[in-house]
Amino acid sequence: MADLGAMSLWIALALASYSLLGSVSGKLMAAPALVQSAQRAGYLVALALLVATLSLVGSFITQDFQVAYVAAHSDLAMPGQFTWVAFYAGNEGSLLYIAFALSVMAGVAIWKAPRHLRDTLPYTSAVLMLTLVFFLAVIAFMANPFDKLAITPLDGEGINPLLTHLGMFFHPPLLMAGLVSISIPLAFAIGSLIGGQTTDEWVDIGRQWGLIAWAMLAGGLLLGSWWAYTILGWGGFWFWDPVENAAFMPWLALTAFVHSIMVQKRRGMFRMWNIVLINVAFSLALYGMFMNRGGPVPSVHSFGASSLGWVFLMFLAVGTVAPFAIFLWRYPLLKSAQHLDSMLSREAAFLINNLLLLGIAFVTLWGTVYPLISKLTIGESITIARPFYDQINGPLFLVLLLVMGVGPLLPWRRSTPDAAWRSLWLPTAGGIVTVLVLVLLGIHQPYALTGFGLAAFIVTGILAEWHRGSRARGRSLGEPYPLAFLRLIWANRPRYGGYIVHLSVVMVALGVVGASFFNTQRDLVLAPEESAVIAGYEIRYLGTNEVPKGNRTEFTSTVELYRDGQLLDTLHPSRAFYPSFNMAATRAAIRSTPVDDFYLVPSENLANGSVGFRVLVNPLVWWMWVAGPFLVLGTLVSLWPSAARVPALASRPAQGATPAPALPGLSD
Amino acid sequence: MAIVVAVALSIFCLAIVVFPLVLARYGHRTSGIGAATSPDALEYQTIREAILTLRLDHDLGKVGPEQYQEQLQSYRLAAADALRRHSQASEDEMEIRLEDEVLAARSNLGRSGGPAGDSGRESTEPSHER
Repeated sequence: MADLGAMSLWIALALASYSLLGSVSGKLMAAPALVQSAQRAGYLVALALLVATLSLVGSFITQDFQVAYVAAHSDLAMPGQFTWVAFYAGNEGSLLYIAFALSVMAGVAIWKAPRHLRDTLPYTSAVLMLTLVFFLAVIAFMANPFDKLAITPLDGEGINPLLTHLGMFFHPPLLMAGLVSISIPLAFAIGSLIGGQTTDEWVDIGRQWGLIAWAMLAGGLLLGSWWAYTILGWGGFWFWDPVENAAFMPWLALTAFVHSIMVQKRRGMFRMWNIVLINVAFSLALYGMFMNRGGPVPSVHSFGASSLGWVFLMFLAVGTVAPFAIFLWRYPLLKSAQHLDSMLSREAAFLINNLLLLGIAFVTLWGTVYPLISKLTIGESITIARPFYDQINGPLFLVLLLVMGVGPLLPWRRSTPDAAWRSLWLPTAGGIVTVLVLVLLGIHQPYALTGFGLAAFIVTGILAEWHRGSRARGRSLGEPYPLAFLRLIWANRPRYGGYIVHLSVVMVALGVVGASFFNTQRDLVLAPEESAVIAGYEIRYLGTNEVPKGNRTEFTSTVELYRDGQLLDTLHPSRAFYPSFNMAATRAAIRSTPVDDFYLVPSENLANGSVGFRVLVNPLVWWMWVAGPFLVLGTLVSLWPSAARVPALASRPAQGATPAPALPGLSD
Repeated sequence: MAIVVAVALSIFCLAIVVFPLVLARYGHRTSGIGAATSPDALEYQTIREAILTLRLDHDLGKVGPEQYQEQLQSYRLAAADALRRHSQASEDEMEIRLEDEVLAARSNLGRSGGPAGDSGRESTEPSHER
């Protein structure tokens, strides 16, 4: 099976190389058959990589420990369901996954590309295939998951215990696919530039793939936070770890992109800016891959010592310089069709939002690379920790929330102060009332009050917009209110899908503010039958059950949780020791409600039966995880295609026939 | 077994990739590059969406009546202009297609050896490529 996988890899590399060369030469020689042949080769890369992927999965299932990668990332005791996780648990397998994901997405992107991009599609295809060739060459020559051991071991080394978690089924694949999928909007942008289409032809498809990449990254980041929260045992969800940052920065740049591309779509503005943004997002994605695979900054997420660092550094350099060089080449042609009419407009709000997002990305990048800079300049590696990010990014995020609330309430082109106030007074009142109520309830932290006030401002603005729109639609079309509400959303999917995503961002903000300013943490040691009180909760430790399992010894504690003398729940946090890894992995027991999370994790099991527990009460964290489905829903609504209503003018009307209206679909 | 599957996969891929080149070798036109949608049609669609957004903003009270009429008028003018250009482009495209068909027919006639086409079938069969 491994042999088939290895051969499929080479077939994929040959196909991708041919597709790259065929696309460019077919276009330059005006040979459409060659272009079509190259496109077909591009589609077939996905098939060859599917065979390679299935071969590697098959090697895991059959426990073929002759394959070095299988022996390094699984063992006989590994539960079968983690085969999929083991597949991308190491450098080689994850690269194969990335190549497969890119080949599928590239195939779909080329296949479904709109007809008006047909002239530039060979260049787009070439950019995608160049990216694929890079990954496939690295896999084939430097990180082949099908390499075999000289002697077959009886058992493998086993999967990293931290990866045996539900979140691992989705978090790494989404992040890796999200990072590499940024190459698709980039390929359409660069393809259009090379082909001389310097206006807005690529905007729709760029927006669609930008949103897809954005949603995958957002979902991956959220799931990664959930994984960290439940398994790492420190009770937090974001550590500002270099590799976390490396996935976060492209997401920030993409967030800016999916907003500003709407300005180009609506107004023909920001043409240069959007090219710059997608280039920046792609460069940051490459930087993330470099950090993850042999980068110079150590991280809990990276693949450890790897010789691939310099290869990815070179790819980062080429992937940054080449698109910017093409951009500079076409710069004189990238003139905006319109100018900013007023600062009191939606496009102005988008511009400010872009600047803030890039500011946060820059601060994060600075914090991430500062250890390297300090090492080079003063000879000492100084690590930047959470307070730096909190102090600088925190206020920027608050301003971003404000802009996120104001922007959608402003119309395109320009507004008047009176009209703007008509839209803004109710959300402003909602925010102020929320702050006053919270002050009366005893909350006085300025940042937290600002965060909650802004969250209320955004939610009130969105709900008011929905209400006004539904009411207006109901009145004018005679539809009942619920139907008018649904049809309003359906008729304006990009806008209202965006509002749903904004609601999910507010939910994440609630969780971040709640856990950052109001959490309670205690570390304590309890003997059996002992109790303790934390933040109004009482816990009673009953005892620990020790169970030896195939590859670990598991210690599961039983703890009763009370509030006001009433039993709320019986919790079972666990801690397992893995001798082969010489490490312990914990599973927190979490009682989660919309108000707060009661979080209990055993940090140490003592010989006398006592257990050291870390106990946290984290308010509002529940909202962060509920945000995920809203984020997906909002993105799907935004992306749902609308039927194009371009008038059919290809055939002349028959003589005597009634002519079509001059402006179909535009009458009042 | 692995080699057999890999060879089968290679042959399958080769066949799929080479097929358009073989077709081209025997005079079939490919549908890989053809007429593209007029950019004016896209512009028209964009303007249409912008007008719908403007109407919604007007209904929501974000845009006053005067501003609404002014912007609506400018969008309509832009839409009319895009429509006119789209119409012109469609006519041009039809002419180009017609010329393509004539060229293809002549080429087929040339290969079959005469205007009546002794081999008959090739010269009389309509092209299915479009």
